[in-house]
Amino acid sequence: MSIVSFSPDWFLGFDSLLEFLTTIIVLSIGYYALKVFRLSKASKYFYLSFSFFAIGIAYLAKALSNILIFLEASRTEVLFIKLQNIVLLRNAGLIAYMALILISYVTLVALSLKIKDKKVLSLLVVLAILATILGGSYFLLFHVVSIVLLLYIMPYFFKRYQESKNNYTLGIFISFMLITLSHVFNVLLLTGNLEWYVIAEVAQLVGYVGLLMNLVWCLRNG
Amino acid sequence: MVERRNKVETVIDILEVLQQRGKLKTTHILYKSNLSHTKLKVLLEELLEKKLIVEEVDGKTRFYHLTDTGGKFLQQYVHMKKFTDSFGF
Repeated sequence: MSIVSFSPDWFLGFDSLLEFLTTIIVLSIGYYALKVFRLSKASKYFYLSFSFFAIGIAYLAKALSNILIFLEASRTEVLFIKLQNIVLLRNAGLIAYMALILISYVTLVALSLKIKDKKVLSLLVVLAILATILGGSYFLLFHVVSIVLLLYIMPYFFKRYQESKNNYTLGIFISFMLITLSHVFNVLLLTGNLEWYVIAEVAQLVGYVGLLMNLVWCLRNG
Repeated sequence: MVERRNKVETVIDILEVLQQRGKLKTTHILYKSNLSHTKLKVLLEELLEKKLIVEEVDGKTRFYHLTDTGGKFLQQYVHMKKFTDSFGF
């Protein structure tokens, strides 16, 4: 299996920084959702928290993988880890990233579509991961499956906003739209223009910053 | 079908009533919280123990009101729940 990096050379290393920031943001959202779950004991908050923790760990794995890609590119052997092992670790990190993102998106789809049957949920996870693994291009399929899953989540947020006219829900809809766009920009990388990778990374970070701003506004103003 | 409240939701309801009304007698809290007298007594003791409310005795009547800690707890809970609820799940 071969997973290649699509980052322009000048952006190598910066992508890890953006992903570490995303990790911190997403884990803090997961932490607050967990706090609400611990108080309310409502399972929907548990799944919401689980989704964000999974996304957080996914971005941590991706950030570490990108650091390894950076080291691999500069042909650096770190702490006696040979280049061959760096490649293996980097690929393991990227696979963990893709699997965790798909699991979290499926969980969010289940929450949006009110799917409570755990068998249906596991079936969706298996199908999403299989669709990604069994195709020829992991990179393309991962982003296409992610876009499909997010296209099921976004209308839900928009409908909720139309019903409630709640600005926080509008913020969440816009954030998820940016996250979806980041996957679209990753697909556009197939045109050969590596700048799409940078645009995708920035769009994804802005999307998660939007969610964080929503959280901060809620905690400050209620 | 009426959804059953869990303990925290009941506590939040009590704290919210105390925040809105300032000071209340047990009977008023009982009426507002829709709990049995025994359950409410246990809950109020727990809230007193955690310093979320304070008791004030005026003759034979006991009054309860929210403490600063209780107010902060209520505010934090309401704000956090508002964020998670904004997902609409």
